[in-house]
Amino acid sequence: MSNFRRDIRLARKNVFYDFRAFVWFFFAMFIIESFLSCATLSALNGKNAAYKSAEKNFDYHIAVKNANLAQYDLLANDLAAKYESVKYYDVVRCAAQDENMPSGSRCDIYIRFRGDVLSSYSRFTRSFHDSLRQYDPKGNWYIYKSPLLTVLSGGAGDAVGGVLFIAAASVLCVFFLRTMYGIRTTGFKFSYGVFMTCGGGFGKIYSSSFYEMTLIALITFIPSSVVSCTALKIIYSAAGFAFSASGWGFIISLGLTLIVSCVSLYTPCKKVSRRTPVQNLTAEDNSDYAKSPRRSFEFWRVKIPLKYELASLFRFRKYYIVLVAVCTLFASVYALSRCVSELYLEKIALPEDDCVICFDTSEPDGEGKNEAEENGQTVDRYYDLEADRSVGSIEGIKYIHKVYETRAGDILSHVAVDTDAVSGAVDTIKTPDGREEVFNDAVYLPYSDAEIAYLSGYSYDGDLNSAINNGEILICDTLYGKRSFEILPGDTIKIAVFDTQRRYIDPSLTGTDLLKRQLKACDFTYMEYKVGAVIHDMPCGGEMKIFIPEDEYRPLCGLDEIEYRRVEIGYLDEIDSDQADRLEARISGALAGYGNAKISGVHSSAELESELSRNIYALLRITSVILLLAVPVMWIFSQMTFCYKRGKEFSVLEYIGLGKKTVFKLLTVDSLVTGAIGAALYTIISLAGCSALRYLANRFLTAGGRITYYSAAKPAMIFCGVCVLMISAFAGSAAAYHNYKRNIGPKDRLNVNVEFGE
Amino acid sequence: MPILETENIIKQYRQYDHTVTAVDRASIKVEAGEFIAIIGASGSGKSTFLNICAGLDRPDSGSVRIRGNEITKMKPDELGRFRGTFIGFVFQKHNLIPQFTALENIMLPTVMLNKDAYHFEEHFKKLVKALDIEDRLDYLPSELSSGQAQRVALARAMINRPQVLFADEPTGSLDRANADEVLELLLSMRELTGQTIVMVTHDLLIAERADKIYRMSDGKLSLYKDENGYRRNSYSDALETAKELQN
Ligand SMILES: Nc1ncnc2c1ncn2[C@@H]1O[C@H](COP(=O)(O)OP(=O)(O)O)[C@@H](O)[C@H]1O
Ligand SMILES: [Mg+2]
Repeated sequence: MSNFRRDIRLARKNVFYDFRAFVWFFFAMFIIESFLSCATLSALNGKNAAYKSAEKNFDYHIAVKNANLAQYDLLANDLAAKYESVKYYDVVRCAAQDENMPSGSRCDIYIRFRGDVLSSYSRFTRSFHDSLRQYDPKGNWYIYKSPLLTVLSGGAGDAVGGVLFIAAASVLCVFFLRTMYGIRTTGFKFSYGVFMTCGGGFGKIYSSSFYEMTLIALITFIPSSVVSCTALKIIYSAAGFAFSASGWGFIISLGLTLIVSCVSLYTPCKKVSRRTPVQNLTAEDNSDYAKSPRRSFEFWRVKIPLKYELASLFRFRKYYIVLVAVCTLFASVYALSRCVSELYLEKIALPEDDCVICFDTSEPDGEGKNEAEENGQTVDRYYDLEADRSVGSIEGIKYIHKVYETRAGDILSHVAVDTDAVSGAVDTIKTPDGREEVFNDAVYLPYSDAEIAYLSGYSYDGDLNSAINNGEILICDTLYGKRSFEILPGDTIKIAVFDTQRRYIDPSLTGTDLLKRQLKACDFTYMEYKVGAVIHDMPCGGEMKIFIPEDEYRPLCGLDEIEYRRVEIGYLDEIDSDQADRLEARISGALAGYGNAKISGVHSSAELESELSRNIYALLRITSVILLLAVPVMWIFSQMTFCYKRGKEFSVLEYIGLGKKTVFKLLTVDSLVTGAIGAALYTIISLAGCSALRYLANRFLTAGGRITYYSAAKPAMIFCGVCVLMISAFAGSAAAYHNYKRNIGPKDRLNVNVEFGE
Repeated sequence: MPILETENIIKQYRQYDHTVTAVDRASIKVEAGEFIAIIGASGSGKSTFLNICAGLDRPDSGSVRIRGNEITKMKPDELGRFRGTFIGFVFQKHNLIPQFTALENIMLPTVMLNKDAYHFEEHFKKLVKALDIEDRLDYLPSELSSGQAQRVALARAMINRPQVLFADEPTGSLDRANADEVLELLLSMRELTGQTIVMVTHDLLIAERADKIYRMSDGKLSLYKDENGYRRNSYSDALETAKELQN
């Protein structure tokens, strides 16, 4: 016990006697703790926040969709529903598919549970599932669980995400603290040498270092908790979320901080303890004192005379390389996390579909089929003209997007364009007659005038209305979110229509191989189309999207009828979630005869999702700022420690008459050159990294979605990072110079052990 | 069994394009309780040799045995504990830790070895009394005179009752009076504890007090004066040594 007290005292002594050096560890610890507690608090708050914001969008836990009147009666007039004392659920509202609700019509019943939601829910399913079935054995009614219920039962995915985020944060913190402590151990080898002479080894050095960090962590714990709590509170309330800091969050983040210290101190301590005491004691100055101020150095056998300043930069290149690399890395991580947050912002800004209709293709087999036919129900219907007419007449709908696509290769077709227009984005080959340059990385999509409202949501050049009137085609000029085709409205494109097949085509061929074979084996007619409009920001994979008017589409693809099996519907902007529920019911009503249509309203959950995204966005923003703060801390601390070790060199300079001005010049040149190198590296890395991120997001995150990500590195973000790097470099040298100037005369400095505090 | 025995120690340093042999096949045998002085010109390898003997540095080849333990084969941490337990070391510069008071500096070895302070109380009192630093215990090293600082360093080296005390020009940075005083203290402490002392010195007057004197010259170690006071070298050699030591 008394030993432990002495260890703590040793740590206290180190920390407070060398306060000028250790103050940077206070900053570092503050940053680490804020970072970790932001991560843990928001991870723990996630479910809470999700529930609170789900509550804003949903006033019900489940909805019995597509219910008939008998089912409605059962639920609304159940004993439990009648008597307040035994009531465990309320029917919030009932949205009829037909406003006038004639008998035989169906409706959606919205239900909210009382008391413990999950147990009420299971009681509900126990009591009603069978009887609901009895009332409508082969109907299409189903129970929809709202996010208000699912956030309570689920959340495993969120937990994994939270843990991953915390783990990533911890890794960054380890790297940060490891760097900081590495600077300390190299700058303070003398003390460690004395410890080792007196019998200390790795264990002692490690434990005393750990106590130092623990002490600092405890001191900065409260301020960092306050700061991170306030920051999160602001972020969450700006996004309209509830935030309550849980006590566990603080305990976990303190524990994590200690684990981070434990891990990050290991290597620096191991490194210093592996050296012999003599190496540590005599390595107090690695500057070789002053080299000749008029030094030259050899570079590729060429002797280059150098100013002293540049020579010193070159002399300490190893140190400067590590310093610039680590700081640039942190700045780049800042840029990347900013970039990810921008991607989230774009996702939030994009309007989502409000309702999606899918037509099941799986036909009920055997008995079910016969039964269905007996009832006069048509199985396997798709979104035909009749459906389009009845859904299209519902008020409140902004657009209806019918999804259908045909890949060019699948119908023995391909596209011919100018080579200049393609510019290497897709592989093209020449036709056998040598007249056309063709490719088959294309998908054909039908469009009709009903689609105009949907398409006009994207940015485009040209005129959509006149395009449809004149039977022109529309194309997307991007691949994976990057502009790839030089095609303008008014240009023409030729699409090959298959005439006759003369030879066998191996069905296993794909891509250009397939195209080559097709060109040899078949005859084609080339249809010329005028491009009416060019769409820029629609997500496209590696294939050019070509929208063709329905009337042209059918003959081109050899179809009598286009069987749309997925329809995406957007509501007018002013529709609130209540009205959205009613609209959804009316859509269901309009499609009552389509047994295989599954209507899923995503209006409210889309809104909830975008709020969650906003939350992640804000969290990323704050962590990126924290990361950027680490840069000046590392740079200034490192420069101060390092220049302290060069104190003797500076003194020698003073002795030979060069003096303070030289030292100032030397440090300024150091800071300008290293800062500029760091800033340039940072700019390159973050520009490249951000476009890589954008590419990945467009490639992998847009599957089936409607978003194309555009944000790459924002100029403000680059500027910010560059400024921080340059200012850190300059501040580091300025602090070092200040330290040097404050010091006693050169003679005294030559005699002291070069360490802080002496 | 000799308390310290070295055999053919070699230590070389690479400096730019050539190698310097700082210690060249140095062998020495020291019996328990002896006081050994090592003299030699500056740069002749005395410090390097002493550091290797005390386990503060590793030789390129050769063996160092203290109490029969081969210390060159020990792992760093093991060697550290061994140093803390059996070896005391005094540097030319006091090498006190600036942020610790004199008291804390003295007790540093006990902290490093996790030993309870009360085991050392009596010994500590005797030490500080003998070294006359009782009233300076709460001072920081920067507040001590160089003589006082060196005496604190001496106390630090002796607090663990080491069996061998190594001292590298402990009086080198002191004036005559202080130097003599520190030497007297060292010798009286030796009376007290009976420990072995191996001391590097520039000062022939101090060396003359030793049981044996070794001379280091270009990394080679030779006996200069044995326990009977018999000088094993010619007059001219002695003259040269004296000249070397003058500057
Ligand atoms: N760390 C080192 N690197 C290179 N050479 C060294 C180092 N330490 C000592 N030397 C060289 O070894 C020789 C002996 O040094 P040292 O033992 O300090 O001599 P002394 O203590 O007798 O004055 C000298 O020539 C010195 O230049
Ligand atoms: Mg020496």
